[in-house]
Formats: sequence, structure tokens, C-alpha cells
Amino acid sequence: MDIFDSSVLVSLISLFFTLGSLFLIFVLSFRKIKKIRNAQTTQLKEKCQTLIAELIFDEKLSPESEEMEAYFLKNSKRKQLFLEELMSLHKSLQGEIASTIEQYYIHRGYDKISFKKLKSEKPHEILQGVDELVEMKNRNSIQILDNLLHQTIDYSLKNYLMIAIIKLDPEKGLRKLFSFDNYLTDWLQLRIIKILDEMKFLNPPALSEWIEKGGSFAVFGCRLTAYTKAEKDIPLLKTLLNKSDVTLKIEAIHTLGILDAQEVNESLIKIYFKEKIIVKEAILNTLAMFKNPNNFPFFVSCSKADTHETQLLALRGINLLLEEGTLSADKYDSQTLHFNQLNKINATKLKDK
Amino acid sequence: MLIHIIEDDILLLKTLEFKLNKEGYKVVTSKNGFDAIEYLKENEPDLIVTDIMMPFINGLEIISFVRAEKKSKVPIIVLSSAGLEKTVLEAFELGADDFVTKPFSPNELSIRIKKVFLRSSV
Repeated sequence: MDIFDSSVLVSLISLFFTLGSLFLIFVLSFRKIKKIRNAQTTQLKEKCQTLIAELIFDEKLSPESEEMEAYFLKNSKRKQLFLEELMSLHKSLQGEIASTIEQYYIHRGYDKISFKKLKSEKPHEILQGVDELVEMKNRNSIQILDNLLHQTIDYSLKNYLMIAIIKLDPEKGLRKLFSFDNYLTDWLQLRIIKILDEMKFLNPPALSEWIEKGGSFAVFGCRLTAYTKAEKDIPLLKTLLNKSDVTLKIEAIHTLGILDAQEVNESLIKIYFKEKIIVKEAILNTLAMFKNPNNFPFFVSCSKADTHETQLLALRGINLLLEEGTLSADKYDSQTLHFNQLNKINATKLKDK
Repeated sequence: MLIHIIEDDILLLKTLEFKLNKEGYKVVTSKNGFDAIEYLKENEPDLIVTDIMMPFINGLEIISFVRAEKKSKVPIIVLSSAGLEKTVLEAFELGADDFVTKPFSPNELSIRIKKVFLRSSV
């Protein structure tokens, strides 16, 4: 029994030893192969970088470089590597050289690789294709991206494609938003406005068109008005104060504040007392932005009513008037009183929490 | 004229090297802050073009090495990305002479280089 046991043990040990050695050999070989591959990629990248640097500055390539270019164009993996390098350089440059890269991308058929990616089953490949077309400012792709936008049911991809179209052509892109069926989230709206700002685009469709489309689009229209500082839209924004849609009303009030539409001062005070607390907060914020000393009695009355938030906002309005120096000296005493009140409210709030 | 370019984006580094070589400048390149400082310890280029955001040793450290330790007055142009205004200001405080924001046009960089050379010769 003992002899049997020890022979089994020896066999087991040798089996584990063999398996361990095989595993070790596998790991070492794998590491070696990986190292060789990485070295090859680095070498290829270096060749690629030298070629690109030469390509964008020399009209005529040397025979060696021509050969190298053909070498990259032959194989799809090498072509992809070349495209990635081209994209990364394009991100750092602008002007004439950036245009040269864009032209090269089309002339050598690299755009076809990007278009092919749009047909992929893998979402990350589609996004990669979209990114490449946008980075290379390929305006011819707008129709294809638009078709894809209408075919896809993926919510995130739809947003991504919409942003891509706007980046390529803000005017066309914003028009296409009218046929967009996704809800415009705050994030998407702010992202679009940031893109417009980066492109210094100041000519979006009229506010009336956004209001007509309604919902999140109307809110976006107000934000665009605030971004473009379109004072001509003040009368239209004023009509939104009577709407039942609270979100839209708040955005309109906020936009009126940004536009410094002092003419709506009285209208805002008029509707204040019949509004919900969140609308009241928006009104107080906008009135504070106006810094109108005539609003002082109104702020005082608000600083004693409703919630802690509205009281604080009213006191902030008073504080801004004080900072501005527009309040007459005889009102300073009541200011002190209200600052004491502010401290009390803050203390209570902290206690509540 | 010898220009020392310090940039961790190798492709951009090569592109700038190629462009400035074409314009008749002699160019020395460093892929990172370590190599740059090693080179600057022994050599004195006529102009330094350095990226700000680099791993380990950044552009600011290179500027302060050149100005505070090496006590050199060699002109320095900084390459920065958008949104790094505060860092650029810091670079100016440390002694940078000019800056270019990425994405930039290589032609714009050449003009800045010419301007800096002109100013330093005056």
C-alpha cells in the first residue's frame, strides 16, 4: 500500500512539474513574441511617422518614401496604423498643413476605411469610423452619417452621430436636429453649445422654430439664445413666462437674466407670487442679475417669505445691490438687519441637515 | 541657428523637425524632459521649443532649469493645449518668451520663431 502510494505521489509530482514547466515555457514564449511584436510595431510606427512628416511638406516624394508609402497601403493593418498616426497629427495641427492631411486622407482612399467601419457590427468600430470622418472634416460623409442616424435604434449612437453631423456642418446639423426624435438631454444640449462655441458658430435657427418643436427642443432654443446673446428674442422669451411648462419657463427666465432684459423686470415681479417655488427661485436669480435698486423692497419682502432657498436668494439679490453700490445710504441699516437674518437662516439650515 | 524641440508626441516632434529643417534651421530633438535636461546640461541651443504637458519632467521644470539653474537667456517658446492658460502664465513667470496653442499651424510656429530671434537679436 505504501509502495503504491509513494509511486502515485511521484507520478503526481512529476505531472505537476511537467505542467508547471510547460506553463512557464508558454508564458516566456508569449512574452518574447509580444516583445518582438511591440518592437516591430514601434519600428513600423517610426517609419510611418517619418513618412508622414515628409508627405505633408514635400510635393514630390523620394523613391524610397514612395516605396514605403506603397508598403503601408498594401496591408489593411499597416493602413490602419498609418491612419491612426495621421489622425493624431491632425489633432495637433491646423491651417495649411491640416488641410494637406485632410486632402491626403481622401486622395489615398483612407476615407474608404472609415466608411467601411460605419457598416461594422461592432459599435466601437462604428464610433471609430465616425471619429475619423469628423477629425478629417469629411463633409461628404454627412449624408451617410444622416442615413445611419435614421437607421439606428441605439440611443447613444444616435446622439453621437448627431454631434458628428453638427461638428461637420453646424448649420445643417442644427437643422437636422428638428427631425431628431431623441430627447435632448442637458448633457447633449451643453455639448452641442460647446461645439458651436469652439467653431465660433453664431447663426442657429430662430428661437421660434425651437419653441414650435417644443419640449427639450424649446429649452435648447432658449439656451442657444443665451449663447448667441440674441436680444431680438426678448419679446418671444417674454411670452414664455405665461407657459404652463415649468422647465421651459425657468429656462426663459434664466435667459432673460443673461440677456439683461431689464424691460421684463416688472413682469417677473408680477408673476412671482403665483408661481411654484422653483420658478420663484429662477425669478429671484434673474432679478439679482439685473441689479436694479428698485427691486430692493421686493427682495426685502421675499427675504421673509416662502422657503430658506428663496429667502437666501432674495438676500443674495440685496447683497449684489450693495456690492454694486446702487443702494442709498439710508437703506444700509436694514441691510445689516438682513445679513443677520441671512446668518440665522444659514445656521438653521445647517442644524436641519 | 540651432533649435532644440522637446515634445513627447513623436509624430508632432518629427513633423516640426522636418518643417524647421526645411526652413534652414539645425534641429535637435528630445522625446522627454529627462533627455532634454541631459542635452541642455552640455549644450546651449539658440532657441528652445518645448511642450508643457509631458510625463515626469514637464515644460515648466525645463524652463526653470534653463533660467534658474543654467542661468541661460536662450529664448523659449512653449507649446500648450487649449485650457492651459494658467500653466502658460506660470511658464511666462518662469521666463518663457512666447507660446503657441495646440492645435497650431507649423507656419505660425515658424513666424513666432522668426519673431523671437528678431527680438533677441535686438
